[in-house]
Amino acid sequence: MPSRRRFLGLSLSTLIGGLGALFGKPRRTSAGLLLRPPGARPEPEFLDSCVRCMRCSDACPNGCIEFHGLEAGLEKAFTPFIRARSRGCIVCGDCATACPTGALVPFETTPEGLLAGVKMGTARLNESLCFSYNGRTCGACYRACPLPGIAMKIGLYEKPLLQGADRCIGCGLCEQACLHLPQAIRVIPPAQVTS
Amino acid sequence: MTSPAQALRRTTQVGALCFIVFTAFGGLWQNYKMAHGQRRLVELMEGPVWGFLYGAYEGMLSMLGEPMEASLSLLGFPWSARILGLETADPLLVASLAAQGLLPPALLLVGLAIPLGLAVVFGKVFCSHLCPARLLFEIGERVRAGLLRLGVPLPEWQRPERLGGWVLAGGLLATSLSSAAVWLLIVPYASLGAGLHLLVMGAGAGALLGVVGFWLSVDVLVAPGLFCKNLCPTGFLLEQLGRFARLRVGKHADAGACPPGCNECQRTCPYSLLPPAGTHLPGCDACGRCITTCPSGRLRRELVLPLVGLLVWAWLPASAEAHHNKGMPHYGYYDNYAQVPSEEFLTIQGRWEMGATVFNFQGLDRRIADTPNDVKIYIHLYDTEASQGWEGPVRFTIEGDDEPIASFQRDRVDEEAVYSTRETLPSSGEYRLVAEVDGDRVVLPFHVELASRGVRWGLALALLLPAACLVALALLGRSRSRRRGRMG
Repeated sequence: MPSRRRFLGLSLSTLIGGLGALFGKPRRTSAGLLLRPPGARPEPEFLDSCVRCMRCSDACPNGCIEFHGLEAGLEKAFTPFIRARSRGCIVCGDCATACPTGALVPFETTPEGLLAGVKMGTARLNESLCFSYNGRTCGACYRACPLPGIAMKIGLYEKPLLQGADRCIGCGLCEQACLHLPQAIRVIPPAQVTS
Repeated sequence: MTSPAQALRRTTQVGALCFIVFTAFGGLWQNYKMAHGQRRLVELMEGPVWGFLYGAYEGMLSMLGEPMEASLSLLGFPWSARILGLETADPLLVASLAAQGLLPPALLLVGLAIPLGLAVVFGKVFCSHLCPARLLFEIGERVRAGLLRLGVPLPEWQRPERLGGWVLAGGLLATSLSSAAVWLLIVPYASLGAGLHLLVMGAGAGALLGVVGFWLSVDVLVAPGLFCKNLCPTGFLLEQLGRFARLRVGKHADAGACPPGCNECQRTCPYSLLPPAGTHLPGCDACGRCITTCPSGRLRRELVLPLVGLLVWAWLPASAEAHHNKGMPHYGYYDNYAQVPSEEFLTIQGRWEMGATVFNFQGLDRRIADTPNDVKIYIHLYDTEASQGWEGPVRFTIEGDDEPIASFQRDRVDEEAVYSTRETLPSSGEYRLVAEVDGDRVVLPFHVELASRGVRWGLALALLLPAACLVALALLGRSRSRRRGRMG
């Protein structure tokens, strides 16, 4: 095997790897708070095991799964996310069942199963913005919650009472339903909570 | 015009492309079904045509089981797909999971069986019959022939080096350094699949289709067959697996020697191989174009392909757009009630969460607004350490391209927990809102769309004219190659 040929091949593969590293340089984005689909493994493991086959969005009957582009960096490029404000997740579990690599782990769609298998984020309420905390009864978020009485209870004048991080699965339906502008309740994804 | 074998090959190629588009539309169909539920309702709302299509599609799916469940047995794109419930996975994909140090799950290993089995029995049949990029390259070949016929001096760069293995190694290295997304940027068939998928879903697919466009233009303008022949890692892998494949192209046993100087087969071969000499293996993917071209019918294929592709062809995509009715399912406020054009932007930086709600609403029709460049901005600040909204003094600056456009100071919130302002901005585009609050500086990039969105004729022309030229060139190139075939 002539060494010139080998050299050419080596330099080409290095070039491709280099291009990958170039694209992979993370850039700052203002994407806001984006959630992973339900059942997602913790972020670093999720990024390693997701193969960008886009089956999760094919399977989603709610049409809420979108994909990052290259502007998110090569690490995250073409991975799925949910923008809860435009459309929250209905936690039907079809995406997790469709995932071929286990980047999304299937879960039971009972309250116990959801609490055990889904952690997309944690809802957080800004009481100074919430209608119900300012004398106008609303309760839209409570009516949207898939775990009423568990993740969220409702108080006088339909005040939402969040029941703590370990009882909220972060599906984002409350964020989607919030009537107030700027929105009073939103889901903070796990990566944001730890930082 | 062409032999049945070539027509079949074209059918499977187009079928693979249709499958990609079809699965992407499948998600939309599910969404539509959630909203409408049954054919009668679709007929009442959208008319008999859509009602019929909806019913026909559902009927087709119901042959596979309950329609909603059955739609889940058609997912993904050839890179990793579920076709009629059967799993397939690209060998590259499984290799890259392994390169990440992960044990590929059983589902993917099962999915590997189909492409590996195909390669072992039929050789590089994926390349010739299923690869969507190859279809594109073949169209590119016609365009090239058309350009040549017009007298454009195009170089024909050919190299003997086969570097697929090195690209495979480089790609796996890059995968282990970053992520599996590398492959979607390297191999054009994966970029095309993911790009089309994202396009149907209405997401940005520019970079991916750009990769496809790049390799296509290299193919057309500089070096025909360069990627497939010299660089494709999948081609390399399948070639290694298919060394003893049952399907191959060769000369009839009693064909005798070829007339000297005839190299029609080599000229029609996308890889410039010469089958009568027997040197075409293992690079040959048995596409069979040389068989059709050979003026004396000396070549043949030793195994006829089954009619798999015709089935795929039948799955035409059903386009559908979900709509809010019957009160369910409940979509986002802005999907259903888009008459309030506003956008929300949000950032969390250290202690502060800052959100801006931007209204560019100027009455019902912005095109006749008195002050079309005015936007209203409502800003809220949340102190994540104290877990409450901030209502004290803040200094705000709006910057565009690093120069301040407006600046204003507030001692306390304007209305309930929100700061508000009305600003005149020079144009649509990207801006940054900078807040100086309690000794910290919070920056929030936001976007404003001012002008009305009419039909962009310039853009439409810029896209359509080159497309029309390409079609014309392809037609030119086709008539040229046919004439050449007859002359031989």
